[in-house]
Amino acid sequence: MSAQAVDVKARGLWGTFEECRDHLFKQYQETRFDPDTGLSPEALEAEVASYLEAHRDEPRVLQKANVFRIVMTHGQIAIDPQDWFVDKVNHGCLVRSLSCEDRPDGGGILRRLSLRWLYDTMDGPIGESTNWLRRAYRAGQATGPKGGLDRGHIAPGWDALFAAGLTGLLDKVAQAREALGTRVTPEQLAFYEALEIVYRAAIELSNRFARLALKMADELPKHRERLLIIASAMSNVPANPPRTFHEALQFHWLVHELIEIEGEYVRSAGQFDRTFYPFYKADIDAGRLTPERAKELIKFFWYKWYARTQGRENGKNFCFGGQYPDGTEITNELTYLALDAFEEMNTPDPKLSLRFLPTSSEKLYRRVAELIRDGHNSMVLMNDPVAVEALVKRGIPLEDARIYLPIGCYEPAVEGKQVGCTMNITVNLAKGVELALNDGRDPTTGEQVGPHTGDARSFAGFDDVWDAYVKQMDYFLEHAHDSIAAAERAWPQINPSPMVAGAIEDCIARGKDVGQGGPRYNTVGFVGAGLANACDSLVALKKAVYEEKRFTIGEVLEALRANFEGQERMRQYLVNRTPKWGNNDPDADGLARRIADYYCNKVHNFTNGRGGPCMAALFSLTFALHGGERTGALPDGRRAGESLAPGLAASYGRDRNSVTALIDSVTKLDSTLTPNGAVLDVTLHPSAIKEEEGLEGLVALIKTFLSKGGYAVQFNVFDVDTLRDAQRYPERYSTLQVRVTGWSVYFTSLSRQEQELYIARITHGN
Amino acid sequence: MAIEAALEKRSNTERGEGAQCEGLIFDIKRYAVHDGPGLRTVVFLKGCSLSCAWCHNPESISPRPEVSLHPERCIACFTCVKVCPNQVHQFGEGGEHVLERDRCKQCGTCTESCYAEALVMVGKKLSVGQVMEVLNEDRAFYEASGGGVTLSGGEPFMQAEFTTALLQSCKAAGLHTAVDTCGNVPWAVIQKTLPYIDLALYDLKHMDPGEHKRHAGATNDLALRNLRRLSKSGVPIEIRIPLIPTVNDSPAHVEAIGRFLASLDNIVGVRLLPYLRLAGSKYASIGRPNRMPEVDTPTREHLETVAGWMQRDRPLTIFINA
Repeated sequence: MSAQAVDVKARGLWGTFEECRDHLFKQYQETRFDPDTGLSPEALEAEVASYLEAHRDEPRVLQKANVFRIVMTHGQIAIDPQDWFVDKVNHGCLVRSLSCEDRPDGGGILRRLSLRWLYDTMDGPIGESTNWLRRAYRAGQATGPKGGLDRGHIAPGWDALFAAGLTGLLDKVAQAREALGTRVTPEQLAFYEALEIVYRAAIELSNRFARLALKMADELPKHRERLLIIASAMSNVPANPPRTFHEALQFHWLVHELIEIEGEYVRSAGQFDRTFYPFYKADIDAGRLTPERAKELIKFFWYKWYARTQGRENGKNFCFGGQYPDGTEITNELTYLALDAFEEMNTPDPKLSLRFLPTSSEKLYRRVAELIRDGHNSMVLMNDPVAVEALVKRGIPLEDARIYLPIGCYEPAVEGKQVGCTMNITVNLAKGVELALNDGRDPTTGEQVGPHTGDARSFAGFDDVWDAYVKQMDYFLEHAHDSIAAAERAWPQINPSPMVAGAIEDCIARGKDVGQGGPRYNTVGFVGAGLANACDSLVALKKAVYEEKRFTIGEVLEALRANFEGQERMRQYLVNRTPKWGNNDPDADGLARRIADYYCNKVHNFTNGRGGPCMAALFSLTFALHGGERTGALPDGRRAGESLAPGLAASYGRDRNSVTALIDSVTKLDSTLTPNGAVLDVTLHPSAIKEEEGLEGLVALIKTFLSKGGYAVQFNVFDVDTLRDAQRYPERYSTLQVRVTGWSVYFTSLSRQEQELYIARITHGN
Repeated sequence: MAIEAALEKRSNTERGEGAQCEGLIFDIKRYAVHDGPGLRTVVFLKGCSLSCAWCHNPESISPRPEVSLHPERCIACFTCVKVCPNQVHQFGEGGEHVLERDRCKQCGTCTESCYAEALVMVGKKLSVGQVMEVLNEDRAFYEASGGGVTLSGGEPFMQAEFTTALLQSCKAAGLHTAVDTCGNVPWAVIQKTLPYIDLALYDLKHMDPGEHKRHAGATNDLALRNLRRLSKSGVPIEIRIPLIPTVNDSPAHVEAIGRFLASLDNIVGVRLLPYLRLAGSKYASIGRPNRMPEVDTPTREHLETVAGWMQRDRPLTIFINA
């Protein structure tokens, strides 16, 4: 950044976050690179192109490493003198996002290379499996990443990285190569060489930053103090272990950047209060830092996450609470300091997750409940004993299971040891019902996407429906698994990842990349969505058709085909007079459990393409909407195209028995069967969490959910937007109750004037 | 709705004497946080001995079941017209659904066949055993929060036998109990339940007998006398005051309340409930004339001022549900 671009108002070293905030928000859009610092993106691109042209026959891992080297050693760099952390390398895409593969710049030079290799592979070696998955996505049976391979959802092992530094990793590479001796393969030699290239390039980059910071310190006397600190930090990290809290944060952010520039997505940023605590504690004990200043550093550090997403993308996750490998609790003063920073920043990113133990203190519960009450509702609350047991059941040793991280949104993976491909596929559990009722033919597209399981009119009873459902799901899951395994086997050709490989044990020791089974644990996630719709649809058929004989199966099929057109009375019966998941109803809950058990056990029978296990999950994320768009009318009364149920929760407006009954239902599922996560979304009324008693109520709700064995829960407090939406779509909110002490009324039954009055009350109230 | 779930329950006869006793319930709410300590389930009993102009649960007033109509849910299938034995249902020229309520015998035929739930029977007969089944479902939540069960209404003591039996069952089951009462019932009824009540939520509306009669349909003599007796009984009492601008929020009146409360024992708190004019649709749904005062919701500032007036003589623990 040139001196002219900097606002050189006199400033102290500390207490500048609030005044820098707007500037920091735009840090990736408005970066100016000094041409003297390196090659322009165009020149860099040409340099890379000529390298690749001259080295076509080099193993891809070496091509990748050398492109990385060219970018890191020749690309332009910039330091923002108002910022505490440096990170800006001009590789053609600073405003990176998770969906940047769809951007014209493809996410920068390295990502474009990976993307090219991905498309080559999708059109070639894995063409057949790619096409099979594409058709499944089109039919709304599932969704997943391009080519059927989730290369993201990486959780680097920060503790190990900090302990070794990149210099230490270079030593490990040398030792591992030596240990293999004459058994080492040419492939392994190429991999080791690639590791050395990328770590040396990364160290060279940090040295370039150090030199630039020194130069700027002379040019910008008002920022001299901070620039000298930066220069000192960059001459130490990430080559060596961090010496201070500031250096630890700098190390983390820069390596995170480098991994992502290389082409992986770091979706968990780590266990904040364990990884950074030793550095924080040492600084405080030595008098180098105050808690207030540490909090400011955290804000500068975290704001980068927000500046990247601008609040519009899936965020990244920092974890708090939980336990050390030996089972002792982590929560410490840094936990609370960071939560304070999070509250004061008041930004939607980064995302936070909290791991609760039976021994977690009242203070932690209350602090988290306060944050939720005040609108910080992106936090996921994990039930640690259950999450750990679920991993142990799938073969992860206890000590490793205890250092899992919720990756991305909620999917656990052992930090620095597991490559989980956690979002490899999201399966529509309700689509199986539709296919079972239509002999495997998708009524929307007319395609025969599943096996022939017979004309539903000939089914003798509910057991036949269930059998057809299982056959449809079996067929889909087995084919999906085969397709994913094919994509996994092509991973080394798609995206060699030497930078991240050193951050995941045992890639170096085994001499294998992250996509070659190098990590200690190699798993694939199968996420099940729409449990409520599958359950409610099946239970409605069981009750209304086979038990009460109120409608024939033929009548129901006709109504579904017509999207309930002219059959509104039947639809109302199905909606209001048959059992629904989420109400502590034994029939509905029993069936949901049956579906969940079937699905999870089916998934757990698979071995993935890298030889590891497959892991089941139950949640939906945005697939509730997109999968819903491709699912026809269902016997639960849901019309064609409407959203599926969110996460583990009841279908929209169908949980009519309060949140406690919803929790009763959900906790009847076996949470240890969902090692890849299972999350209940709970929506609370603002008045329910008001005042001290509301806060205590929320704490009790969280504690009871956890003690009943729920897996994870996320709270939303409904707001004015919800009420406006309810005015537009009253049917979706038929059970939304406006509750005030001692009384309640359905929001949608209020007159328009009364609705406005109520909205005004919650807007201007508290 | 928890009340529908309760209807599905088979009363557990092992729950002992009184389990078969039936009450008329119009709602059961789980996860209530402002009706006594902790997380609570509130059972709303139908029938009240007062008829306050500001009542926001008008469906609680009549001691008989009532058909409520929610036109926004109607799918115009006209099944109600076909099945009603008493020609209660008619549709006007513009499609508006009119109920000839004088003819309605509350037989439930229309509500049973109204799948869209545009017609709902308010008030269901439930046994103590059935209600207990629902109350027990949230036991884990009560235990985690120090919560329990609250009987509300209507006026729970109007169904003396049922209320007593239900409270006894709750105590036998180890559940914390609260009763929300207007106090306008014979003392003997309240007295009989005292051993089974952990907290009384006692409504106080107006100190002046004439004003009380004008707005609530009866004088406050009995309610105030019962409150004095109750305050000697040892049961902790939370006073609940619906604060209605121009009706009961003048400094003189509020100070009078404060003086009265200062003379009582066992008052653990006073809760100010700001008037909210949102029940118009409820009145319409059961065909009851809406007499709700046309005044605005008091602001938090006003409530805090009122709380100040109330404590002129003696400090009180005042909660404001703004």
